[in-house]
Parts: sequence; C-alpha cells; structure tokens
Amino acid sequence: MIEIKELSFSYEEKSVLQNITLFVKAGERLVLLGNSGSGKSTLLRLIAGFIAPTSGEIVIDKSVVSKDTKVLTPPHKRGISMVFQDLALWNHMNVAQNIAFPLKMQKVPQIEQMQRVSEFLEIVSLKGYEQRSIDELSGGEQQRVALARALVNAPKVLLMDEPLSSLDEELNIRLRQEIVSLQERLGFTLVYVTHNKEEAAAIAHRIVKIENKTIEAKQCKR
Amino acid sequence: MQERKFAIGIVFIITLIGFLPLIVMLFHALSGLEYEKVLELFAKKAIVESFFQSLLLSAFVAFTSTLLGTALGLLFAKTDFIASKLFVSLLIVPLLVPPYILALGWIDIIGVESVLSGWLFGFWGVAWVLICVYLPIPIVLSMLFVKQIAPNLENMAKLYTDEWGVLRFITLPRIMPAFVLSFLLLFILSFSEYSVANVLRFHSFSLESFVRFSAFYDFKSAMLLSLPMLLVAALVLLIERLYVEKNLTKMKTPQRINIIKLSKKQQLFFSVLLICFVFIILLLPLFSLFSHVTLQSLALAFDKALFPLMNSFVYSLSAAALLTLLGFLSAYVISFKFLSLWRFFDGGIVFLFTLPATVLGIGFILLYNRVWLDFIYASALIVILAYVGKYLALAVKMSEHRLQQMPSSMLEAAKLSGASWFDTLRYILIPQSKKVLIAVFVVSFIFSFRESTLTMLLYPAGHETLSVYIITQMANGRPEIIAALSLIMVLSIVVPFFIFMRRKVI
Repeated sequence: MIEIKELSFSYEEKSVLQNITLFVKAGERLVLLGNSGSGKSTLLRLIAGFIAPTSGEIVIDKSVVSKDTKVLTPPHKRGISMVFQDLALWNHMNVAQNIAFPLKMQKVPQIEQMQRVSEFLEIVSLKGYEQRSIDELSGGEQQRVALARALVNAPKVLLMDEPLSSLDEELNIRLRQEIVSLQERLGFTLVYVTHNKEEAAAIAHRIVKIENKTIEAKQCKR
Repeated sequence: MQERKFAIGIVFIITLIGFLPLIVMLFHALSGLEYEKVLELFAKKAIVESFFQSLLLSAFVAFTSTLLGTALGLLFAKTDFIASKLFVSLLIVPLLVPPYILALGWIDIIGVESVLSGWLFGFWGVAWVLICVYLPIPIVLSMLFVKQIAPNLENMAKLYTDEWGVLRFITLPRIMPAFVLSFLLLFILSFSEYSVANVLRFHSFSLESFVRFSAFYDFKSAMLLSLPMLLVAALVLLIERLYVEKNLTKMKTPQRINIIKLSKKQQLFFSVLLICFVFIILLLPLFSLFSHVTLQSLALAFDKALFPLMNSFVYSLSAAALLTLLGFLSAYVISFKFLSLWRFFDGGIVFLFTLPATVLGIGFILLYNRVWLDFIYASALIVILAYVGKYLALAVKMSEHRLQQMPSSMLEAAKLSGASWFDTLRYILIPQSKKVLIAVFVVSFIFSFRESTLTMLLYPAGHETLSVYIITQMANGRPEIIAALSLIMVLSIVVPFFIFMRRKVI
C-alpha cells in the first residue's frame, strides 16, 4: 500500500530523517513510535505530501507520489486523510460543515453529503451535533469530529499524528479502542504516530521505532 | 484593592482628557435645542446632499481600499514573493504622509484647468487620494491575520483540495474579521477626513461642520452638524463590537505559516505590477510636487516655518510620551480587567478615535474655554491633550496586543515570587514590552505630527504647527514654498519611521 524507499529529509541543512525504508500493507495498523524530535511527524508530513523529501521516494497504491526533491502528486490526490495533533478543526465552520468539507471538495451532491455526515456522526457517537460550533465542544468531542472528518470520504490511508496526546488517560484509552474498532470496520490503512508505548501497543499490528533520524527497530505485534 | 484604585485613577485621567470634552459638547448641543432651527438646518439641500455624498464616498473608499489592500496583504504574507519587504515599506508611506500633501501632488500633476480637473476636484479625486492613503491599513491587518493561521488548518484542507481551494475555503474566511475591521475603520476615517475634501473642493459633511465653525463662527450649527457624525461613529463602533469582537480570536505571536510558492513568471509579473502601482500612487504625486523644490525655496521655507516646525516637534514628542504612558497603563487596566466596566472604557477610547476630529475639537473648546482653565486653553497644552484624546486608541491597541501575547505563566511566576501588581508591572510587563513601547512612541509621534484638523481648531495664537502653516499657505502661498514645506513635513515623518523600521522596532 505504502512504500518508502531510502527516504531522507533535511531542513535548513539539518538532517531530520535518514535513509528510511518502510512498507505498509493495505489494511495494516502501523504505529511509528519515537521520542519528540525523532522525525516521526516529519515522516507523516512527507507521506501526506506537505513537504518534499531531500532524496528517496514514496509510493502509494503503486504510484510514485514523491521522488527526490519533488512532490509528484499533491496531497489532495493521494487518497489520504489525516488527524493532526492539534486536530486542525476549522472554527469558522460548524461540526457538520467541518465533516462535510472533504465531500464538498469532491463535489458530492448536497443530499448525499448530509447523509454521510449524519452517518459518521452516528459512528463517532455525536448524533445531533451537526449545528454545534467547534468551540462549544469538549476535547473528546473535538477528537471525534476530527476523526469523522478524516474518514467521511473513505480514504485508503489514514495518518494520525499523536491525536490523543492532549487527552486524559481514561478518554485516551476509550478513544484508542474506538479507533481500532473503526479501522477494523472500515478497513483503511492506518499509520499512527505516538511517543506512548502503551498507546502504541494497544493500536498496532506492527510497531516501528524511530530514533536518531532513522528506523531503529521493527516489532511485529500481531 | 490597590490595583483597583490605580485603575480608577487611569480612567479618571482619560475621562478628563477624552470623554469629558465629548460629554460637554453633547450637553451644549442638546441643551436649549430649538427644533425649528434644527429642522431648518437639516432640511437644507446642501447639508443633506453633503451627508449622503460623504456616506457614499466613505463606503466606496473603504470597500475598494480594503479589497485591494487585502489582496496585497495576502500576496506579501502568504506567498514567497521576493520583494515583499520592500513593497510593504513603500506602500506604508502614503499613510504616513499627511493626506493633503498627496492631494497637492495630484493637483500638481493634473492642474486646475485641464481635462481631468473635473475628475480630480470632486468625488473621484477625493476617493482616489483616500484609497491611496488608507491602503496600508488593510495590507497590515490582513498580513497580521494571515500570520495567525495555524499551518495544520490549511494542511488539513490540502488533503482534499488544491491551493486555490485552501485559499477560498480556509484562508479567506479566517481573515474575514480583518476585512470587516478594515472596512469599518476606513469607512469612519474617510467619513471624518476633512483635509483632502478641503484641498480638492469636495463638499463633504465633515468639511461642512468645520467651515460652519471656522469660517462663519456659527458654533451652534457646527455642534448640531457634529451630531450625525457622532451617530455614524457610534453605529460603526457598535457593528465593530458586535461582529469583529465576536469573531476575533486572541492574537498570538505570528507563527511560521504555509507559504504559496510563486513561479518565476509570477514573481516577475507581480514585481512589474507593483513597481507601476507604487509609482502611480506614491512616487508620481510626491516627485511631481517636490520637483518645484529648490535649495533657495527650501532655505526660505525653513526660515519662515522654523517656529511652526519646532512647535510640531515639541507638541508631537510631548503627546507621544503621554500616549505611550497612558496607552500602556490603559491597556494594562483593560487587559487584566481591573474594573467591571472595562468594556465601556475600551469602547470609549476606540470611540474617541473614530470620532471626526471636528467633533472632538469642538468638545475641547467648550470644555477648556474658561478663564480658570486658560493655562490649558491659551497654551500648547490644549493641542497636546487633544492629540492624546484622539490617538489614545492606537497606543492602547498596540500595547494590548503585546500584553495578550504574554503567557499567563509569566505573571503567575511573578505572583508566586511575592510580586505585587505594581512590581509585576514594573519588573515584568514593562521590560517585556520595551520594544512595543518604542513602537507606540514612534507611531504616536507620527500621527500627532501629521494631524491638521484638531490643530487648526485648537491652536492658540503663536502656537501654529507645520501642518497648520502649510494649510494656511495653500490659500495664497508660493507653490515652491508650499512644496518645500511639504518636503520638510514628509521627511520629518518618514525618516524616523524608517530608522525605527530598520531596527525592527516597528
């Protein structure tokens, strides 16, 4: 599904990632585990296509999307979705508008957009929240909206960048279970970044440890 | 408790300087009101026409300037356009130059009896000059707001749409408060601006009120004509409070934002476009006007205007010092909500800024024209205090912006160390705000130096400033002297601005 070949990235002449080679199977839940500053979030940004590598290539679904210093396929054409650490919810839009945005961009008819929004709000247990403002929601609710928005257009790959790091332990445990069950139900490929070993173990099929700018160890969990 | 007393003291001082003249003016205008006289005044065709013409002009200037300025702000802040810094610096100059000097430049280019004179001396000419003058405001505002957009908000949208889609659905809606704020600010500034209308002989409402007072000495009519201006200012402020405050998120320190890369062709296109644009709106009128300046005329202008020039410096520097002090202390009172009425205090200060200078000037005359207050009325103090009343909002907003950016942990750490509110102010807030205090001083100096309407109304005999001297010379002075005086005025403002800008204070 995702192939990363000898990928390196430098920022302002400082090396951030070196010679990363990694393969993620379709439907797999891969967790990138590492301390802050290890380059794991940068790897997600490279997969998403927000930045171009310094060298190496990224292949998604058999097509080369980034190679050497070029982003060959822009982010919106990679079939990828993402949940950011800060969630990146747009507070100038309400809950329904946030979730419907990916569908609106794909020019999905309005009626279908509304149906899908309501379906996904039900999936993340937020039925009836359509008209709520983002600022009115609790941390956990915002998390669910971000998840619904990321999944509403049925992406092949979902990238998650420490999405639960700001939540309390109880909510963190509950939401990680929900993420796993959603992935099993919808079947997307998940690349999940965290620094929390327990969280990694709860989510992953496979854990990849990133340290010192490169992959230190691969561990098969299941 | 102590901080409350301090806050009340600050509110009292600002009330004396700014709010009281306004209250006295309102009281005088409304007491002994003869309805027949009022109806007669407001039924006059010239007055009604000038009111609606001014509304139309203000709306046109505000909309056009905001649209153009926002587009330029986006180009400068959101793209990797190579000459952004240079063009931002150049495009700020029209706001620094007194508007009537740009109008003089255009008169010099087009002339008083050419084919285009009909265009210049009227609605379109005034609108053009005011659009050029106010353009920097939306540029700076939109740049400020663009720099507040967290990159991930746009990155998220990038997963579903291209860069134009991101701009349309995320970036533009997020800077909408800047657009509305700019429109409202420009509307009220254009509505109250009188000097360009005066030079270009446009019958604006603020000019009408000014002329009633200064030419006919019809104080009552001038006061009555101030009332609609006061109402318009109040209405604009109300909209600002209802819309912008609700949609304005707390400003953070500008952060690293997503930048749109321009191709070489686009870089070239925008460079050529902006060179032409800066030439037309700034260099052409100023060079045309200053082309009349000779060494002799400059020497003569210095000789004639030495005292007005010195007065301008002394009054503006004094006002800037007061504005820096009172602006920061008022911002402290507002930001930390020491008084339950802090919203009214904040709104009142902004209201003073939005008020046409004529209205404020009349208020100052009514309040201070008393024998026992002669030490204020018959001295430069009245001019300095009027500058403080008018421009306090600028000083407060700049200081507030800095205070809001300070992490609360910084103050909490001071409290834990046993610092009182005054210690916190002295040892933490002021040292942390040093840079912004210098910026407030420079901006206050510039705005006070270029001010003309309040000064025209209030200056006592022998206390005229450079701007008053230039305006009086316009009636019958020699063109080369007026040009030389304008050059002195522009250099006095632009040079300190660029010195501080280079040092990254502004």
